[in-house]
Amino acid sequence: MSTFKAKTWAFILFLSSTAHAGDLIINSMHSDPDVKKAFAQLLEDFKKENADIKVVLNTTSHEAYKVQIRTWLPNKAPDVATWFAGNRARYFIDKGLVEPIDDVWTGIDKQFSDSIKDVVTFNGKKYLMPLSYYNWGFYYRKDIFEKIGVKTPPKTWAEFTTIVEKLNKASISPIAIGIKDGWPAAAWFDYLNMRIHGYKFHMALMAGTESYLDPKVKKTFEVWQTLIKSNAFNKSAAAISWQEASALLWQGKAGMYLMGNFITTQIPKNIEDQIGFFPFPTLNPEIPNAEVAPVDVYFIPAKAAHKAEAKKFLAFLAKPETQQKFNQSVKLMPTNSTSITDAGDRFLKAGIETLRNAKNVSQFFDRDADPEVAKAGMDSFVELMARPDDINTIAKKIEAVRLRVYKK
Amino acid sequence: MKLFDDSKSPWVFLAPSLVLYGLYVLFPIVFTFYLSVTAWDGISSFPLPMCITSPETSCLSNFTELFEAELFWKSFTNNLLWLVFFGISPLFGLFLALFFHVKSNFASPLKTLLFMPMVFSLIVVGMIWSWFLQPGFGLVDTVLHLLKLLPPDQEFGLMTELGLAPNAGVILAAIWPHSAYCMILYLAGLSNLPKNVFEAALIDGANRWQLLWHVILPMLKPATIIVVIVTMIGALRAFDIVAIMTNGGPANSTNTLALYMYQETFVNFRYGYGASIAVVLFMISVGLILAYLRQIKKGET
Amino acid sequence: MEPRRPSWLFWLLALVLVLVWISPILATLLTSLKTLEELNQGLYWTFPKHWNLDNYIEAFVNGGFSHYFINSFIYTIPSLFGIIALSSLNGFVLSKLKFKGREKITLLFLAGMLLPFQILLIPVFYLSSNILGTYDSYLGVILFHIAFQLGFASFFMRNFMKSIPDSIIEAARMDGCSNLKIFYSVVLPLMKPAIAALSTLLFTWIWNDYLWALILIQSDELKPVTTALENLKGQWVSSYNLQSAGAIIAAIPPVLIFAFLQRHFVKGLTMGSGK
Repeated sequence: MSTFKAKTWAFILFLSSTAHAGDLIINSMHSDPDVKKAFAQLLEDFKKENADIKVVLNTTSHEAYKVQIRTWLPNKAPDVATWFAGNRARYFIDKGLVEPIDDVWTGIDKQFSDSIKDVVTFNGKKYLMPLSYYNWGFYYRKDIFEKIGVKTPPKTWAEFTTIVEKLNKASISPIAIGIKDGWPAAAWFDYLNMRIHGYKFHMALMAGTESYLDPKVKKTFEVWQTLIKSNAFNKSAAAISWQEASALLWQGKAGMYLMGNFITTQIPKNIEDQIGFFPFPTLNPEIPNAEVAPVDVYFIPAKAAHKAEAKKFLAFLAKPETQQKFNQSVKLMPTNSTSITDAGDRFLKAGIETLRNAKNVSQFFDRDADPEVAKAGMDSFVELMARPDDINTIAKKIEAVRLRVYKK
Repeated sequence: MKLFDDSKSPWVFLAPSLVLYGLYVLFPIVFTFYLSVTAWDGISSFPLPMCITSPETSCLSNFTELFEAELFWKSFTNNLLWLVFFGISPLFGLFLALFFHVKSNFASPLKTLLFMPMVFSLIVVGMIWSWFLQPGFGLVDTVLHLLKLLPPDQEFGLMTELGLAPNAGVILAAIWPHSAYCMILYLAGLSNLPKNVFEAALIDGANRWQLLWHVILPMLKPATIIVVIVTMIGALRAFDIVAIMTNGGPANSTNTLALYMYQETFVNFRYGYGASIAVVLFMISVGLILAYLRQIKKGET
Repeated sequence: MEPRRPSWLFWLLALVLVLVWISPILATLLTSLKTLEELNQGLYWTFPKHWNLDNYIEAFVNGGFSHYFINSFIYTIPSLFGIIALSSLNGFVLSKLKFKGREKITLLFLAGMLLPFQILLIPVFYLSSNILGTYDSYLGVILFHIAFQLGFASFFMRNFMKSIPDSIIEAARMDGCSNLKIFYSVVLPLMKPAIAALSTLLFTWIWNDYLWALILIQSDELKPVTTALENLKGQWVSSYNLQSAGAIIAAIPPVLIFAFLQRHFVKGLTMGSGK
């Protein structure tokens, strides 16, 4: 009986033991197999330089991570965590949950472009360390464009809408889109609004200082509405996911697709040569081009236990070699501009080119806007795409949420 | 064994459960009620009620806002749809349990197969049904096109509509595993029934339907009570399958109260407001369940 | 209740019914055998071009199943025993013992099932991390599962025990048995079918839990098997074939449990009070 008792106690002790502690605990939301592999390699390289630091990595899938971070960040925080730049980071920073890392940034800030530094700086302090970013734009079927007699991808809105018409005549869905999750629709709003009214107005709208009832926003909606009503998008968009929409492009049922560059990792091999890229066309020649280019960042929670080690790690992340090696294997762009990017990948090359021509970069609707406004916005965009009749009601819905959020 | 003296023993038996249950379930529930009168964001330290932090606000302002929100009423309506149509699953479950209640060694593997839908996590169930109903590629479309019931250039737009229609797809997907669940509860109920009752009834010359209606169903009542309650709760708390299949969309057409609560709490960072939705949902559930139990009691006396 | 003897017509109907019923699972099975290229071409409802188990191997390795499987057993088995032990006791007390407050306690257990439980996420997290100190440990998750399922399980047991005739209990009491003795030597044996059914349900739920493990566990080392399924669902890449294979792998233990326990649902027949 006594050995049974002892065994029981030993078992309970085992059950109540927590995981092995490390000197550097990193929580990550990058659960895609490729990214995970590349990040594991990055950690290996870090350990080579810092053999004395024991690293523990915890990976949680993207959506789950967004919920989970709210439990551990104010309580049992890891030493380093992944997150998004933009308003989503500001939310935690304003609550004092993120450690400023200006000391890590001293001496290296010249290696990063102003637009990148802009999205990691809040109230004059730097809080985040960027590792990668990626561009957005149109991925299109070269063979289909050729078939309808289009030789070069469109540069202006007029050229763009002509192609839409031609594709429609050839009974091909001009533009693929799947908005079961609202965000692919938000990309359209971001681009149209930035192309028509410029980066400054768009960011003011995102920051809550401009109204959704502004005639400018109405104009953006009108351009979008006209496009929708001209049958530019595939049917049933509201019920399919963005991945399912991409299948329309792979199968030649649609001509082009506004997406982030991550989509290029998924192009089926048999049609790889048929896929081309062009940036979102110009709508207003007086407005300088701004692009959507979300930046993925790392930060140190204010409650982290091993801040010195964490800072060493972030300094390592910032290095041009680190950024280059990691991003090359996952087909993303390094944020350190002294990284030499091997443009062997033509999509990456086109992306870098696009961002070089951009005056500013935004982070994406749901990263730039307040979360509540973003949710209301995306719901409304879906409604607009499904029922493109009533712009005013849609604008009013978003405005109501904006007013409530920003009156606080 | 003084401890198990019969007058005290009920409480001695219940004690460990009540401690655990109190800690992990009752305390958080009470806490949720408290949070519903605050404007907590879910991340700062716990706040005081709204009417104390800012005297011009009412402590019930989460609730007043809720009852004015269009989305609340939309979600509420969808929950009502759930109550009605999800309520079909007990019938399926009962049918399956009775049908497969046979004396044969081959019936067990079949029952195992029937149980399969419940084994898959709802994440997977949602995923499968999404593929089924997917416009353009889905099985429903493929079959309709094959049978020429739908022109090749058209798509079956059930899940695309802004309105009540897409709820049909989601509820259908939910009925599938829930029927298997009900089946198990009924199977357990069936094996608990004494067999001499049937013999007696059959000797009395009752036919199968009379047997079902007058003997089997009344004797299955304990199982039925549980089945009805878990089905009502399942309909009121509908969450996972909606989150996976539509995430409440298109444009909130399939949103439910539980999902609405989750979105407010974890997407919009409004824990206090989310708690107020939870409280309202709790009240609705308590009302319905108590009404049902009272009905049962009335039937008994 | 005595099962009837099936005829050939029964088997025909049964087979058709089962096939229709599990057709979504068959679709998953087909998907799990296809390449992503095939799926990208829209070939969802056809037989795979090449039959192979590559997806299963990849899912098993990429998802890290071997490790998470063990964790899931560590969570599921002790939770299951804990719930069954406590809830059968509760069921007995609430159905067969007369005492003041019985109805109220029953309703209390019922009430726990009525709240949309997602709202409890943060309070339960606080309890586990800042009060009990069981955050990020096996025990924290096990205790939670036991507590959380007690409401339903106790109510379930109570309802099934109600069908035991009071005369049996009275007879035992006349023989001078204490409540505890009546419970384990008279009531418990009669409850085998209900316990088997309840165990199947509980095993499935706890096995499939993702949300609570997400909130109560931070370290990869301690995560359950549903994490492996999540791992297969990338942010950017949705490999339906891998996810399907993973889903099937993860479903094996609960299916085996059901196949094993369901005989006991029926066994109760010979032990039933009608004997």
